[in-house]
Amino acid sequence: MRRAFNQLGAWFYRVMPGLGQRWAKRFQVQTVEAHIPWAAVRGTLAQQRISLITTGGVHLRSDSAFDMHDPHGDPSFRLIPASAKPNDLMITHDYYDHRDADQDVNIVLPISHFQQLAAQGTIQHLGPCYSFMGHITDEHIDTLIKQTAPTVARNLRAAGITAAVLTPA
Amino acid sequence: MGLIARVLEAAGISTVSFFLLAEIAQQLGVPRGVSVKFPFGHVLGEPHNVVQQQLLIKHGLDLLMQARQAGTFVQLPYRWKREDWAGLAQTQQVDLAQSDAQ
Repeated sequence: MRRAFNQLGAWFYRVMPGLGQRWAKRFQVQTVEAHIPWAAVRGTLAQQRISLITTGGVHLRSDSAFDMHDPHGDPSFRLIPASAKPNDLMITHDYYDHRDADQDVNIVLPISHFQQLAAQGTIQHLGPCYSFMGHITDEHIDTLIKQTAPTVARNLRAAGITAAVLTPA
Repeated sequence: MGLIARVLEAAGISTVSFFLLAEIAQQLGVPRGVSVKFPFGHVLGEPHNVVQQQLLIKHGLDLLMQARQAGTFVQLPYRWKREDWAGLAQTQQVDLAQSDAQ
């Protein structure tokens, strides 16, 4: 029942884009910090080892889905290998209308484009990609900041990744 | 989204983040942000519109390589389903060819 309600909400936001802008104005941002972290890019674009990160709830069909029953969201992540094909992937996320992204995952996770950029040598390498689920609230924000996001950061460092491109749902 | 970018950047990985809601991203303080006023679930545009998706990705990679300070934010002017994407891509290629020639 809750899932159906959330899916209905997602549909409303889809048909009335102005609702999203209004929602944003009322949104209370958790961490407003004057300090913004900064890692300067080293070298050229052709020397970058890039990973993609999405919060669109994308995962391998063979992997477990995100938890849609916890009202505070699911702060875990799923690994998406750099070689994954769009047909290997699916989306579990009730908080946005992903019918178009189901047709072409590249509008939330541009994996085919970056595979091509790596093959052309525009970038050096496409590394392991990761997906989270957006719509994480309350205590799960802490889990995200202190546990799951730092784990992904460590994994990316271990894979020699120099830069990440992040896309929301 | 912005929170994840901050964690990665603090760990030494340069990030560029796309957003649909510029207000949130700017309040949160992301290292490099690109926003586009498209509906939720369509941050890189329409399904199978390869030219459109490539153009948006190019904006992101340009920002990644060119931003020189934390909190650099670009708001893209594109209108949902009201742009000539093939024309825009062609114009950009001409611009690039001209800047290469100079």
